[in-house]
Amino acid sequence: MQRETVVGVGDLHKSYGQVHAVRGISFEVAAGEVFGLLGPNGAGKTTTLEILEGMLPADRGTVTVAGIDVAREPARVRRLVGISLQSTSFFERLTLRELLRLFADLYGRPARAERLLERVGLAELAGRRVKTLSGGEQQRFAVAVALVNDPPLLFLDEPTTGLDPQARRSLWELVRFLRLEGRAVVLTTHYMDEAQELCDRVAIMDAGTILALDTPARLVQQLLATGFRREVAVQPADLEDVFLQLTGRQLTEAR
Amino acid sequence: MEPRAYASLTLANLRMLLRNPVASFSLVVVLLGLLGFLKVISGQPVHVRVAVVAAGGGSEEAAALVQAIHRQPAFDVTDLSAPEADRRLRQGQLDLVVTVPAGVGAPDASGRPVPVALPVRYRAGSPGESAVPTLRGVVEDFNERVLHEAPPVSLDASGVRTQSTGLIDVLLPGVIAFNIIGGALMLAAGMFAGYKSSGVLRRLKATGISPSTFVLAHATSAFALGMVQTAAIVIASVLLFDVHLDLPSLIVLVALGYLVFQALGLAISGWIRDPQRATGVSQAVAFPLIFVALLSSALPDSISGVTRYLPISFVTDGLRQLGQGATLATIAPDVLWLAAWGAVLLVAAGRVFRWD
Repeated sequence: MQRETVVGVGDLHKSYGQVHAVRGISFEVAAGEVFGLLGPNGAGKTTTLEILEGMLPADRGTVTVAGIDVAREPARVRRLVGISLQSTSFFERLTLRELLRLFADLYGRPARAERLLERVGLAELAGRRVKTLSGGEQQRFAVAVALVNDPPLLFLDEPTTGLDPQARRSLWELVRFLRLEGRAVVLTTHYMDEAQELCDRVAIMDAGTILALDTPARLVQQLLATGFRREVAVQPADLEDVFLQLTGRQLTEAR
Repeated sequence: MEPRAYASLTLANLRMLLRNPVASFSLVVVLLGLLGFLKVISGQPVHVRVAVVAAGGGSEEAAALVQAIHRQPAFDVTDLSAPEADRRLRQGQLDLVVTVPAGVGAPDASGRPVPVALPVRYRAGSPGESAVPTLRGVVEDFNERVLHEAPPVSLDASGVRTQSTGLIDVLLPGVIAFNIIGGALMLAAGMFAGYKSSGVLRRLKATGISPSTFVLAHATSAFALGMVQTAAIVIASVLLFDVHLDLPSLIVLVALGYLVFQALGLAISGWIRDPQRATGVSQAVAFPLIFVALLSSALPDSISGVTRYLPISFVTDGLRQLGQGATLATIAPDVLWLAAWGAVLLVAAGRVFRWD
């Protein structure tokens, strides 16, 4: 059965002065899908995401989110979706619980602070302030805030950048859980392994254009069909696995 | 405007302000200290250091005159020998030396007291110089009561309570205005610019709330804090200086003052994104205004002709009039001017406001 389209992008353009950041890209995101925008720094991922969020106006093209024209009603779109910005800051002198209650009031939604914190694994830190959290905990809290309005669609901008492997895996679990709940997620990343792990479909961007758009498995198949073979043999485990095996268990036991 | 978002943001802002007591209360503590200092220096009675030289023992009348001088409350009297009194006067340890001759009150052949002149020496320019009339009053009183010599002409002076124009009446409006500038302009400019540079405003923008909700919530919480600060200043002034101000008029004036200077702070933070630059610019704007607020009554006409149209001048002028018993109707021109300034600055702040 064809799933409902929650994001529709057509011929999107955005420039900053002489820099053409987004050059006529088009794609769609279905309900319940995890969609990844991949690419190096400066590829246009964040610009695209911020236009979809209604945070940034497009120069040209059409963007609809849940059937709403983002250019016409950006504030309405922002109230509907969940947003985790690339660098998120919160009021420093409020606790996690107080911040979640505040954001619930901003959306006019019931406060479910304890439940949300439990969901992102931060229930024990409800009385702490954001600045005292680790990078991974801060990102998970940002996702908790993005869930305050119970959105059917979330935008996560580089949610795992700067996190250690354990924190990344923890966030991946959270995204998988969101998908299980039937929410659509649009995320940006420059980690290919992350995209392969999480995304149902990915759009690979560079210099403001989409170079390829498909499921990770089909993109790999297409590459292999060209005769491509990796030169270095894949190891059954790498240093990251060693690190996780060692530190992950120790940290888990410490808690 | 979203009422629930507005109420929650206002409470959150108040909570944050109360959790940052150094930023929220340091200025008002300094200003309360200033009022206390003002009380100490204005409440200290000026005592004149007087030495009495009773030359050669003397008569009962001479002793009575010495006692009369001792009883003068403004004098801090010491009995000394002539050489010691002279030494201390020259060293600045005394303000005035009066010598009471032994022959005070001695009758002449007709039975009338022999005229005697009391040698008085004082340090020029010291309180001793201004104490001479007081000493003259003591002597005249002595003549009348002890020697039964009524002078043909005397003074009958009495104090009348009038509108006070003491130091507190000049300084209190400036102190309140100083607090408004600090709590509204400087705090708002620094805080908004800080929120902007750290990305807090972008995160709030992502919720879809309107800028007016956010700004009004911030203004409300800052105003609530400002009213607490102003109340502390006014209560201290009432307790220390017996100041009387019309409360509704005071609230209107201070509320408008906060509105105007918050809008100015918001405009500065919207115009300048960098928090350090915004703080610098707000200080550059604030300090001349504080100068005008504190010294407006001492400014020459050529300068006050211009500064009188600054919003801070309407605050201090209105407060000064309230100190002299004015009501809201009396200060209506100041209120209207402030409202006009508030409208202009709010429009300007709204035009330059940016979430990011």
